[in-house]
Amino acid sequence: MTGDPTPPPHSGVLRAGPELAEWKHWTEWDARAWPERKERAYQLVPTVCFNCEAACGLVAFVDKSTGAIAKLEGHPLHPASRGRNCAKGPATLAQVQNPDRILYPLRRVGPRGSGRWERVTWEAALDDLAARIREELLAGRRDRIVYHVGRPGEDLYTERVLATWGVDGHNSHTNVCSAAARAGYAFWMGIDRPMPDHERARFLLMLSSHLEAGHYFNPQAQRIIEAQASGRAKLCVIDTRLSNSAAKADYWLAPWPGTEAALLLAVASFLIREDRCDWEFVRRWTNWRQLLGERGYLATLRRNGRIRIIPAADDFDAFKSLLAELYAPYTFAAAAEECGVAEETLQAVAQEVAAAGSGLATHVWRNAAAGNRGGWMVARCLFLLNVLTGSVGSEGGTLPNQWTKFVPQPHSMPAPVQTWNETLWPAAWPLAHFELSFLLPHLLRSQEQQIGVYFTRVYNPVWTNPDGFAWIDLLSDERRIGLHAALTPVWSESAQYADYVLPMGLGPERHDLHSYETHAAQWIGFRQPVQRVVRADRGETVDSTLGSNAGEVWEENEFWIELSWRIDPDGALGIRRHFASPYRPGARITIEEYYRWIFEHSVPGLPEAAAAAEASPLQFMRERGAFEVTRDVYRLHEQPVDAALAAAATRHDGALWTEQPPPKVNFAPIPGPFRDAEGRVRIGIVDESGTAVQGFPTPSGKLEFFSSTLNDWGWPECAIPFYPLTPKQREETSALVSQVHPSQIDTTANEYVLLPTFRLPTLIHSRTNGAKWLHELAHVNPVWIHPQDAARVGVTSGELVRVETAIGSFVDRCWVTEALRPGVVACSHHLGRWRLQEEHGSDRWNSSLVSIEQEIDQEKEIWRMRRRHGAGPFQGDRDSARIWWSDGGVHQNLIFPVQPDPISGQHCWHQKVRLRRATEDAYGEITVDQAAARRVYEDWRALTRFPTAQRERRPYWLLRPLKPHPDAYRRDAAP
Amino acid sequence: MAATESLASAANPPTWVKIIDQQRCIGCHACSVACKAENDVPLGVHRTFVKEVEVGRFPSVARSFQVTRCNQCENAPCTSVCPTRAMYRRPDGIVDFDRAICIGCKACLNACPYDAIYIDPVSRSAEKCNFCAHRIDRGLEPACVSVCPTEAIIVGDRRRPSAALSRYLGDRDLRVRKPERGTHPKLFYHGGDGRGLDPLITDLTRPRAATERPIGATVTQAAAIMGDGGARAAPWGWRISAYTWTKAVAAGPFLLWPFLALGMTLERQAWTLPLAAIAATGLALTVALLVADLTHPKRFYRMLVQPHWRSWLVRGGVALLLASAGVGLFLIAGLVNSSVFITAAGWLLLPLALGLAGYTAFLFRDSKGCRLWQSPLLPLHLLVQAAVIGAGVLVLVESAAQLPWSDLRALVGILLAGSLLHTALIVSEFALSNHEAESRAALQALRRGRLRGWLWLGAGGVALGIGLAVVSLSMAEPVAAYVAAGVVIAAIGAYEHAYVQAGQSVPLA
Repeated sequence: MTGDPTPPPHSGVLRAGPELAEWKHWTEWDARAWPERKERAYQLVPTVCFNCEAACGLVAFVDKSTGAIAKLEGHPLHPASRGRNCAKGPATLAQVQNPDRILYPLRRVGPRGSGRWERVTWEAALDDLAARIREELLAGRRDRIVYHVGRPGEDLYTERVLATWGVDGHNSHTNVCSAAARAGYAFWMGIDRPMPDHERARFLLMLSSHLEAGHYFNPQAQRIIEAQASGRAKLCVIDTRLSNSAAKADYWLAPWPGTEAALLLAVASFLIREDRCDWEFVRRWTNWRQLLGERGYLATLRRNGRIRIIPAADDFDAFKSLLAELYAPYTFAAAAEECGVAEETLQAVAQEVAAAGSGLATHVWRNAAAGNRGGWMVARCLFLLNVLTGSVGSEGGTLPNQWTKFVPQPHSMPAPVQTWNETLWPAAWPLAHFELSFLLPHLLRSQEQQIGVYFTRVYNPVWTNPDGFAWIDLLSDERRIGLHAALTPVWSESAQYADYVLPMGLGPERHDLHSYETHAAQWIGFRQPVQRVVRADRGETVDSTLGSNAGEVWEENEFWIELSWRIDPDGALGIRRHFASPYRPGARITIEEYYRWIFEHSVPGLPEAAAAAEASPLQFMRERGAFEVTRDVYRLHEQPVDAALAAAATRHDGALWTEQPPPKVNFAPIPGPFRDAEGRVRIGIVDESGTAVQGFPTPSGKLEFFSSTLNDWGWPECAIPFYPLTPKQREETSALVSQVHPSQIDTTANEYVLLPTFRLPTLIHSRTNGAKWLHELAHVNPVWIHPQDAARVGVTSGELVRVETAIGSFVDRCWVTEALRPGVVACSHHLGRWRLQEEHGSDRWNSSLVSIEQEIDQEKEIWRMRRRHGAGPFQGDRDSARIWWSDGGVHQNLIFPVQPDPISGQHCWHQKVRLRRATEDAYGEITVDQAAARRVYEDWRALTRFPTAQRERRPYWLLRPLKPHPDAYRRDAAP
Repeated sequence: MAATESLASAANPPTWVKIIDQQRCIGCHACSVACKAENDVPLGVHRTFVKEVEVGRFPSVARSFQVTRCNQCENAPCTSVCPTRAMYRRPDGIVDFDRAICIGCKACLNACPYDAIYIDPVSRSAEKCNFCAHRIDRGLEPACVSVCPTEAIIVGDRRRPSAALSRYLGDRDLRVRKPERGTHPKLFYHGGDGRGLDPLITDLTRPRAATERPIGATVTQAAAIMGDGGARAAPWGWRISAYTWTKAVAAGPFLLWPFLALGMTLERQAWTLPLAAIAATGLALTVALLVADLTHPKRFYRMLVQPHWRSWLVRGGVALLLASAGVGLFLIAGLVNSSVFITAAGWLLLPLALGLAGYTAFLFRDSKGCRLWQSPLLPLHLLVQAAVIGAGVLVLVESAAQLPWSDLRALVGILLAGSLLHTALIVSEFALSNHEAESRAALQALRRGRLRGWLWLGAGGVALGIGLAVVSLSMAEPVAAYVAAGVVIAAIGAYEHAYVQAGQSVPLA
């Protein structure tokens, strides 16, 4: 026997991992040699996971003998993830070692999309890109450079870069994701994201699946389960499909899609009716006075039958009566009828909400908000429950995310850009949150616009966005997209249509600084290229992350510095100075200096903590990878304005104004600034007791039950939380009627609702390419169908069904399950990856080889995708030969027309579909009529309104990434 | 907690236990992946897996998560069957393995009632969750424990439990899987509805929500189906089915030695040499099949040089060796053609043949994962099958030697009686097994599953053989006897294949 069966004496005490003091040198027994005791020595370096948006901490075990990453474990000092991870954390190792990853910069040879590439140097790519960008800037074409981001690695970093270039070129993925929820929250509290305080809550009400996905899966799942297991809180999940989260819930409510707001208003109605509200909170912190002052608006409400009499008084009791009248129709019976959820269940949940009081943590981010037209109102109705129970900003309540997020200031901040990009911010959607990113092919076409240089950054529009064939069409068109550079760690469907594929690092291969609203604290997490850190620790001179990662895999942050430096060789464009070292005048800043400056100057408490640990702030962060800034995050709206400031401030309109606002410390996105007619900045409001307090960043400084913004920008019928219950109301407020509302679905005519958005706990969009362990656990996305419906369609599990939308169809297998509402089918969007070339285009672990054909005639423009073969073994490494699955799922998003919400700009994901049995040979077949797709776009565009009386392109106070100078907002300003 | 700080002495080592809190488990598979990364587990096999079970009707439908893996049994069936002690239990209770000395006999795969062991496609050795013993000995929690987002996996020393572990150990809501197997798992489940604990609750034919097949089911040599249900890939394939048959061919005739020795009036050499040749061939094939079935055939010798005497594989190996020696003697006796020598060798072979034909019953009985094989009638049944095959072989040998009908008739009678007894034993075994769920599932696979054909071939063949034997006896027709013998020998082979495979077909995890 090679091993010794007798273990050495053991204390019986176990720990999760080595202590910080042991990280420089740590040894473990080699698991593969075991039970032979073969020692392996590691240096441990903290970093941050790159797979989902949660940015959990990881600790990389760098093998001292090989210099390679041997494994990644949890980071015990990370305040959010607390040493634990989901499957995607440890799976990073598989991505680092992926034999199919892109190791060198590639430039296309031949027409775009033809699949032929040559290796180029970074130098050549940088020079080409810099020259083209410089040319656009010199020509003053500041709307022709677009940076389209899927997963932002770091707040502020790239926005700052774009601002230094002076381009309005930030395009995000937000409108296929969270635009609706953002809008709903923003109209309430200015800040567009919630932070449910699961740790201290008494009742958790989620329209989300935080126990398996979402912002922020692992950190929040930990805290949700802790709350539930301790018996302190109960969990209610509202989701038409039984998600894993719903499976763990104490209450699972599965309403018909698009009726969620009715359900929430029934709870609100109960709170008002039964007098279970925190009236003092409502009185102090909502803009009820403003509403009672809007006599004309109240008259409209009466005209529409929403109230019978206009309150004569303007006191709070009048407002209470008004509330009671507004929400009286939302009885449990009415909501049960509307949603299909049992009345008793609604009642029980309402009781829980009432009992939770200020300990009510609620959350919606995508789910119903992202699925339905008017979905933003779901967020608004959900947050109404927080407002009524006084659980806004409270312990155990729901906090504005900005209070629990810290974004430090970099060494130099450029002035706001002076330009407005109409293809990203079209006039038809002035209230959108944010860029109408997924409409880009349609907008470029209708505006006859071109993009000179288009960066996609961990963004895969061809695959992720609806109407992907329109994206293929756009990206293939060298006239409309002058140059496409894909910055990506992995192959993606969109990278196939790039001019440059530029390999960027994974979680342990790059720098980023993070802070997210995971729990009741502000923290920062530092992502690092761990092999670089180890080399530097060994005394090597390391001045670039290039060379420390595999092949020539680089990182964006250094790339942007280098690129910006080259765009402005003589500094004449004013770009260079923002990339000059704050420590070595005139020299180009290094990435070390960039973060060193931030850690030394911009993070309160960090220099002191570092000094206590006898380290420089940078060294401190290199060693620890995370830092908690503060836990003082509750009830910040009640914080008094600094007495000296308040004394010096001008007071009018219930607020305090100053010409010299205090310097900003936290650069987390915040609405505003709010200025008075003289240009003074609002620094606080005068509350009901006459105290000068911070308030909320909204036009009124209060929580806006009545949104003057919605009222003034063309949507008066949507200005207060509302759900149309009757056919007449649906007619009057069609912007709030889901495209899949029961009234829109004829179940007798083979019509169903498709929920296409749900995620799997093991995958993340198209970024988990190459993570073999994750794809082994999940590689197909069958259509979930209830047994009743399966019988109607005539299919059983494993058989094929053709799913047809207004523009096309796909063929997928069925999975018959009781886990969703009859009449509704569902399909996970994580799978169905494809590639055009046998050996690249999307990783061979999980993608299918496909071919695309077009047939164009007078009326139709048919695009067809056929699957040639699925995933299978390939020559790569030990495991690639052992791929035992042959299926990669079906790409469903291709057949979805764009459905932009007229207010939030959110793509409304849910689809009205028809189902038919299909034959086995059709598996994976996708057909889309692009002409029909454009018609659907026009139909939805026709729902928008633009108030011609407004002189601005968008309310200035609303959040906007890369917020331009107020002058650029003027409609008469040149774009 | 002073006690926890003092080093445990060798005489008082820790006793590691593991709790899986199913109330806290969210089914995220962090453990599945962290384990793969930590232990470099190849694609196709899993040491730990999260099974999902859905029950109920909308909207009263529930999904439960069940983490399945090695149960670290105190009375670990995998260790007792291991012929080389490659699977072993450490003094601290961890059931560990040594891939370097595993011969790949797969006995442990069938011994495990939880289907937690697999043949690793890289090492070709039996592997499983070993509690991350290499981490434990370094004072670290297993990888699945430290990664778990919801702290649903708790490990610790039972003798000096941490506060968290104490809370669980004091809880009455702790369950182990299949306590009736007497394995005394050290892995306890807390909370949850317990549905996941029953491997038979899932619909075996149902496709899965995220994978095209149950994980691991069809991967080369990946016997451990740590997936969510699904038919289990049999660790022992056709070779082991065939070995039970070749062994019976070799041993069977000598089980009938008393009849031969006492009732013999015939010329000896005419049949001793063919019989010896058949037995030798049967033994050679048996050994060849056994060795070929090992994933490490070249390590076959380890069973002999480092024998674990508790293992019925080792004992069976000895039975094979002894029987081979006996057959060798018998062959020499036949060559010498000495009546005394032949008789003596034959009598010597009788107990050896009993051992050879019968030991498999004990090997199978140690296969705690194969409930069907736990029948008390199995030893008797294996001997009866061997004897019937032996009678058939003798009928053929004697007829080849053109011996008179009078000599043949007794053997045909034995063939007939044995076949009837074999049939009765099948019926009894089925009846006896029918009250237990896993056996019932195995019988279901036999009667209606993919093994149906083999079962009916076996049963139909024996029935035909019985008919032919009756015809032969009643009409004194030797040709019918030859055919009956051939048919019965083949039919028992078919039945054994069905039986051996059915025993391994039941999902266990």
